[in-house]
Amino acid sequence: MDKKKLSPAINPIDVLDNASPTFYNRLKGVFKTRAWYKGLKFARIPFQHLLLIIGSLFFLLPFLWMLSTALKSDLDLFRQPPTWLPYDFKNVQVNGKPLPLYNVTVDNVTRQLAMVSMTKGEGVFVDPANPGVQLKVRSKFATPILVVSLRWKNFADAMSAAVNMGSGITFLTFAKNSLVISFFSIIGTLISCTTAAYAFARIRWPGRDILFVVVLATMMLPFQVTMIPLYIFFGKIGWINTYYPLIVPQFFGNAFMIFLLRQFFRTIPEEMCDAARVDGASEWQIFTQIVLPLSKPVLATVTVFTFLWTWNDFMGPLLYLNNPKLFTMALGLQAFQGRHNVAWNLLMAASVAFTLPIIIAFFFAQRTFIEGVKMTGLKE
Amino acid sequence: MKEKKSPKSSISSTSDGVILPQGRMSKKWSKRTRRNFLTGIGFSSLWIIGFLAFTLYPMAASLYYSFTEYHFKTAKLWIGLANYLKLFKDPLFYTALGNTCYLVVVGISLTIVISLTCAILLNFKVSGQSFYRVIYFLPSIVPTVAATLLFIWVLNPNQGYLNTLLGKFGIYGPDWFKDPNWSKPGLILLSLWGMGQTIMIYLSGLQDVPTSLLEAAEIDGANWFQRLRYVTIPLIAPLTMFILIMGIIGMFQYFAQAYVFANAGAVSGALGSPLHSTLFYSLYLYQVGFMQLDLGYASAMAWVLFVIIMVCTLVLLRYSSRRVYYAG
Repeated sequence: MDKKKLSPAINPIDVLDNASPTFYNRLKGVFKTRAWYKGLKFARIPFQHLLLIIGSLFFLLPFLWMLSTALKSDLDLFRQPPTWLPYDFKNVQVNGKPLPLYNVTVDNVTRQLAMVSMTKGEGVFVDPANPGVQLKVRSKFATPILVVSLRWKNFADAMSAAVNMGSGITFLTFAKNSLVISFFSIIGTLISCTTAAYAFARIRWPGRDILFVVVLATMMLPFQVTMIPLYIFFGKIGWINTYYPLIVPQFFGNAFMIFLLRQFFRTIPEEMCDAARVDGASEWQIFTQIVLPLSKPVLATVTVFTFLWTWNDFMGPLLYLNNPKLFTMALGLQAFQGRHNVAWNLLMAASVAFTLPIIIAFFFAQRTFIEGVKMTGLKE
Repeated sequence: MKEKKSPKSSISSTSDGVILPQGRMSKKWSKRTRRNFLTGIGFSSLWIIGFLAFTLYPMAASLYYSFTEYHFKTAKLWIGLANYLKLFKDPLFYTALGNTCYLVVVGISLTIVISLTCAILLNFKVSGQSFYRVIYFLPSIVPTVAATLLFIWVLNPNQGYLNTLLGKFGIYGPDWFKDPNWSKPGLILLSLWGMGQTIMIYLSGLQDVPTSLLEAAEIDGANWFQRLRYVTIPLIAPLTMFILIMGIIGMFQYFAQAYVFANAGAVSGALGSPLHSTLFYSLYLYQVGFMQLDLGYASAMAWVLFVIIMVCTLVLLRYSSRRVYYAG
């Protein structure tokens, strides 16, 4: 009724509402009954689970595909149509040698025979029970017997696969290189960013606020602007094909981490620092003995994210490292893909190995990861 | 008393301190201020050195290079604005810019819409949520190169599972990274897979929306969608703004995925293949700078990139200060 007073124009919905019992009104009535609401409430939880599961499939299936491919044999890789489970030949021991088992149809009788060799259109088979007799059969009468088999050997193969023939450089080399760079980057970031953040958070000094604005502004600066002069500079001092260009800058601060640490340091009660100052503690003592011990959670976040960024970094190593001996995991994986374009099982096994340290770190420090994301925002 | 005064006086002397010579500055500052200044500089000295050596100097140098003809081993030759003029006539520059804009517009808007939807799902009050949250988040920490390789394999036109899956529904899947029309959607799919971090940011925002406001809206007769549209979305607008700005900065520097991706589909193996459809701005810059060794031109491109990012950020910040409500 009130609605009508407010709107001078005739609303078709109102006209329908006020009409004598029509189909439309009866339909509307159904949605207002108690039973309907009760039903809705009952159906809500399964429905919400359904939506969540549909979403999960999108995120989970590529993972499963990665894992499934990593465990497939070379032949299985390109079977049409592709299967989710890795299949392999069913092998049987004949005279101490493993031979693949086939379903062979001869004269409308199907027997399980082991294949000795296969040439164009014709295969040589033996009966595993009676290995003395060999049988030549047209290959169109033979179909391989497949069983689900997980080929864990792919991981070992991928790790020991040489990127350049005969160079002896394997994924283990890359993993070691990545670890070395990550380790020193974490040390450098922890040293340089905590001290700078302390200066910005807890010491009152002229020029502090201006410099802090500069810190924030550098977050907006794309790497592409400084990339070329840095490359030339590092080239001049002979640092190309060393880890120095990747590690040394980490010892001189990172805007994101300084910001993150400063925000945390500011939550530590100022009174504690002041009390220590009154007692004659130096700033360094306050920093190392009061502030740092109270900041363990944020130090964990900085460690985890520095690890994540350096482990993940592609462009830095691509610019500064040309020698495959020095490649990081990211670079090595890309180079491997360039050379062995079809060895997807090994490639995926290597990818799993590359991802695993981060997944493990995530499960150990789940809270740190999520908190860090909320504080720093997005990667790269 | 003294304590309360000192920050004020230090701020006023800061602006003087920059101009005045050392002798007068030390006279004007109290002993305490001077000591604090030295401590502050001391603590931040690593960052200051780093800023000068790894940010300020390279910025100045690259600005200088952008006005020169410079081919790595040759001497720098001052050519004024010629690099910039050449840039605005370079068809590949526009291709790269267009591709990047496609990624920014389509990629970021899809990321925002879908990650907000996922965050709403993850905010349901049902059991097992922590399990779902891990699943939604996990892809975002997969290293970029590994994730890209995985998607090249998933999107493989013949052996990949996506096209197989589509085939089951009677859809003939596209050739993805071999087809210039589908290579960018493929990359967007990859970035959507790894949007767990955005989802987590939105989720924390949703959890911070005061229930009192939502209940008030419910009592006033607002339905689920109205509560979302008129209460929740305005309240998390600062997060959307943050995601938008960080997304734009990130997308303009989009590199590793495109670099690895080009390797897969290419017959030629050229960057940006097929048919320059994945030639993004940073990739083109890398190609010009480190493959064609035209460092002056690449520096000019870098500065244009910087200006674009700055303009986008400032416009968004200005817009957000007028339109976005920041609580507290």
